[in-house]
Amino acid sequence: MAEGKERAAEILRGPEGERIWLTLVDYSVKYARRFGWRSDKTLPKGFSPEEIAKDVLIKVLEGKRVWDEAKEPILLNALKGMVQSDLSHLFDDYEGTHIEPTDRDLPDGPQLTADSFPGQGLNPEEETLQSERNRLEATALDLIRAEVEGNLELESVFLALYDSDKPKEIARLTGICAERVYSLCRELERIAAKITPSRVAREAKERRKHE
Amino acid sequence: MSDVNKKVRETTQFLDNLTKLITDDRRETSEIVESLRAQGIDPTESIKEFHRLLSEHSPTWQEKAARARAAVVTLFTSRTAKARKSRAEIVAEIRRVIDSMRDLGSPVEAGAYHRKFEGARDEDLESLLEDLSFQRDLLLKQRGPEKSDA
Repeated sequence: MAEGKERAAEILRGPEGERIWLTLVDYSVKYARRFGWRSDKTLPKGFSPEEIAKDVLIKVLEGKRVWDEAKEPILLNALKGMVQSDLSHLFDDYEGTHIEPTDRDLPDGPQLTADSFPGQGLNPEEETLQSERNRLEATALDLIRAEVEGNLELESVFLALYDSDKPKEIARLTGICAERVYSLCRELERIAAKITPSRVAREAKERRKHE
Repeated sequence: MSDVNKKVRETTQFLDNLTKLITDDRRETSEIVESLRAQGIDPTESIKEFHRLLSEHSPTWQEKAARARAAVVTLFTSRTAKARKSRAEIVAEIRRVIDSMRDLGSPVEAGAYHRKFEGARDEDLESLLEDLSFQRDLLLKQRGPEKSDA
């Protein structure tokens, strides 16, 4: 059986290769925006979503990142997972989840700080970060809501999105035929594209002034 | 769970669901292409880049063979181009280098080199030219700091 990198190259050279690539780039663009909606950041170090996808592709082809077909039989899903992981790493998630403990050893035993009691919840720094993320996400949601207001079908899909991410399930929840739901999804896609992270950050800042 | 936490969780869920919905794999390729264009990405260029990356980072044996062939052709062409430089041109160039070395105050034995020209093969002349050029560059470098000292 071909090694992961060879098998990946074989699939990518096949009839589905270009579609896999375009889907991956599109995924990277949209998830970069999703991360941006909560972090008030653009991709650092001049990275673009397309470059994240390229980097993942190169590493898989060179075997620096391993696609284990037995664990994830669909190559696109494996690549998406890697893109999402890299995006998450590049945005502030790493900072938020890898805070160094401040405990240290004293002659009479370890000094205990708030970090010694993980059950107590987030430390103040994490709380501030979390609260800022919540504020940005709420602003993004409000901006999307404002765009769908007045369009009854879009409003229904908007509400159904709290419960599902599947077009068929949304059709069932809203009573709108599946075909129409697909077309409304495209409309939502155009709306989401307009809600850029920088626009969300600006709006959140503006709202804070009026609080 | 408090109302605030519930709202936060629902907001996150909504944004996640929306992103998942608009990245659905079952979309037509034409829709993905359209979506990329709307995000400022040229799908045609992106596909070209994809094939370039595939070829560069995971070449097929045909691509490897083509690359090796191209390398040989390049080598052959450059050697041929070098060989095509006429003997007279090489000799003229050697003389120019010798003259500039003399100007720099280096005692170059023109006669000795002249004898060498007579009996040397083209390849030897090329090698001589390389040596002399190297020595002249060295002299130029040495002269640089001396001039500034003066």
